Amino acid sequence: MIQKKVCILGPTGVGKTSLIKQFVEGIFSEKYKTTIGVKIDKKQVNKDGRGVQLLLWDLEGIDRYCGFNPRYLRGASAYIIVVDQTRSQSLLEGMEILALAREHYPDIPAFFVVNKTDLPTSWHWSEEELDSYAQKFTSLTKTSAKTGENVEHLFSKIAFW
Amino acid sequence: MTEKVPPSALSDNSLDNVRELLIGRDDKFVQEKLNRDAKGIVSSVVSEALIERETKDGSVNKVLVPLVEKSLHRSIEANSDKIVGTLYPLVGALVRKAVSSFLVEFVERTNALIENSLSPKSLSWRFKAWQSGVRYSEFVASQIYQYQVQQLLVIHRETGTLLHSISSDPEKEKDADLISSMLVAINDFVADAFGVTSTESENELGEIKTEDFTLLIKIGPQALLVAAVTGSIPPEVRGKLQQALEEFHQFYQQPLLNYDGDNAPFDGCETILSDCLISERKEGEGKKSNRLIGALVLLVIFFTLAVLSFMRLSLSVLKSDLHELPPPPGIIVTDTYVSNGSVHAKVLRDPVATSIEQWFSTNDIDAERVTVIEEPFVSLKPSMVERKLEKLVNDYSLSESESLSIERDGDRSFKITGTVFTSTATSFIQQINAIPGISTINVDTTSLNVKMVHQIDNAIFQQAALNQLVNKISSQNVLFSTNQEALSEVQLAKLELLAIDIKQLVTLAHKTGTTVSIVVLGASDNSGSRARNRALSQKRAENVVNSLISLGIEGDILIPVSLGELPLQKASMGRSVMLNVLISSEQ
Repeated sequence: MIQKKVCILGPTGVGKTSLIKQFVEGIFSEKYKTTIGVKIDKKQVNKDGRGVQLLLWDLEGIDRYCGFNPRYLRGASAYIIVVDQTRSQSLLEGMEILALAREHYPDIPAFFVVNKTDLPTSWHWSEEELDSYAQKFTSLTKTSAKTGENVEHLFSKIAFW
Repeated sequence: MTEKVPPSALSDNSLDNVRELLIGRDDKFVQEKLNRDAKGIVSSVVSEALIERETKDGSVNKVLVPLVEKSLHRSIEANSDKIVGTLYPLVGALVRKAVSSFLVEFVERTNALIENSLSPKSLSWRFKAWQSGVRYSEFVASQIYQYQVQQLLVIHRETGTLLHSISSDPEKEKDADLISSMLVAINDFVADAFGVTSTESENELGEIKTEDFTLLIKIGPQALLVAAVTGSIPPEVRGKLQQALEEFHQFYQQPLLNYDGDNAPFDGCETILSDCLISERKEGEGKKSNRLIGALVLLVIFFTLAVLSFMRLSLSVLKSDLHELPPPPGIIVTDTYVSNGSVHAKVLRDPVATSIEQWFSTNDIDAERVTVIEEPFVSLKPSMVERKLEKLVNDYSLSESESLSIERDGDRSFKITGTVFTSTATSFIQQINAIPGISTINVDTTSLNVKMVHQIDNAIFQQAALNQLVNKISSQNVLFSTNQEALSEVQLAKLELLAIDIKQLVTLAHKTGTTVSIVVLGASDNSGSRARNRALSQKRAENVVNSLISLGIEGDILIPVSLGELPLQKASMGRSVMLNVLISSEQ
């Protein structure tokens, strides 16, 4: 079975953990969380008779004051940067995280996720502006961790990229 | 017809011509064309061709290896400085790693050795090893190393994904993939948190350890081998892990380098890993009984020690008790010591002092536990002198008509009362004065009623007293100096006492109707002439008689006789006057 390491990055409170909870429905490594700032889950994705096991590294609480340990991205097959469409600031912070990740690992595919689509859009970015940001990523997915919209699709896409 | 050319010949020639025109003579154009594009053509297939040929018959390596070796050799010769510069940091890191790994193993081995060579356990082990004829070091190894490698994980170093895992207990194998990722995350965390400027490779975790559980992490270029071990890990396990990791790299070099998340190529690695899944366990029951015996022996030793130390302690207490106990008057403790399980006491004791046993019993000391070495001595303590005086008075042998008693007459002052005969009184007082230290107390004997012997009324007693006096007087000697007839002061004093006795004798003789005569025998030694000696003897006897007469004795009972010189062995014995009392009863 193919195994893929996927890192989930993003500003605090955008719903990274909720996204994974929604996807995995089971948390193994809660206790590691406070120690090293990363939580790891796994989930198997099947498509056309092929199975891929995703090892999901949920990097906790990245904001502009405390960066993340770029070593965690080493060997990753992909990473996801999650932003919250109800907060304009989260997009800017997401872009900063992308810049930092690219600096260390320019070749790893970066997936752009705009989360909380169940809530009304309350940022001031237009679709065009959003698209221009999305150009820097491998792909853009709009999800809702609450309703589960596009969550399966997102991880399936990453698994068979 | 000459224009006619046979069609076959014509066609043959034209084909040749066409070929020559197209590809040139001897394929010249083709070769030119190929030569011109050769680089492009070969470069597009060279890698694949090499791989294909190599997998087919392995000939690529055979050709390349000597070429590479040769060029390496040349390169090193030509650019040795450059190569040394490039290799230097790598070699340094490699050597450091090898040395530190060696040191860790060495220190662990030494620790175990120290731990087990300077303890009571080691003594018993030495004994057991000797008993079973095994070398001590081997025995120690068999004793300490109880361990089990429970799980082995091979982790891809770059991605942190699990390549393969085996476990001694398949049920425990769950979530090995998550554990692998976590380990790599922890490793990243450690490198990030504590690594300052050093390179990544130097900050990898080598071991995670709790009291009884160790996660041994061996790091290779592409993969990590992690062993979860319980118990104390012998050095050979580390060696085995390292070897397995090296073998793993050797066998799976290509799949490791091209790893894309697919674990299928590593399925066969179990044979390499299973060698490391080792354990060593002790026999539970044997150990239990050994422990029981050990505990019993320990208990016995402990109990014996406790009893011995208690005895020793109680002896010490007894000794110090004895040392601190104020001894009664007349007893001096000169030394106390513990020897052969009992307390010894060296004691000086005045014979009239309290007995040691009594002293001990009044102070609750067990006399059986003390060996007393007693030496007599004379105490001059007033209390002792008093006791001696009282003892003398109370124990003095008296006739029926005599009595003695003593009473305290103030501090250190005694009064002696009673009735005794003169002779008793004399010797009694002499004995009192002979008591050492008597001068420290005041003894009043003035109230002592001294009876003369003639005052005795009873006839039988009178006779007895008479006989006593006869014997006493008959045993008297008056001694003289050589060639001297005059009496010395000492002899005169003696004669005074003698006169008293003679007077009593005369009185008693009257009372009992006995006639008394006293023969006074003068004698001399054999120096000088016989005539002189006879005259000297006579004079000595007469002098004694005269002295007694002057002391109030009737002269008619005294008969001086000259014996002359006596042929005695010791001459001085002859220079004397002897008395012999003759009595004749009426019967």
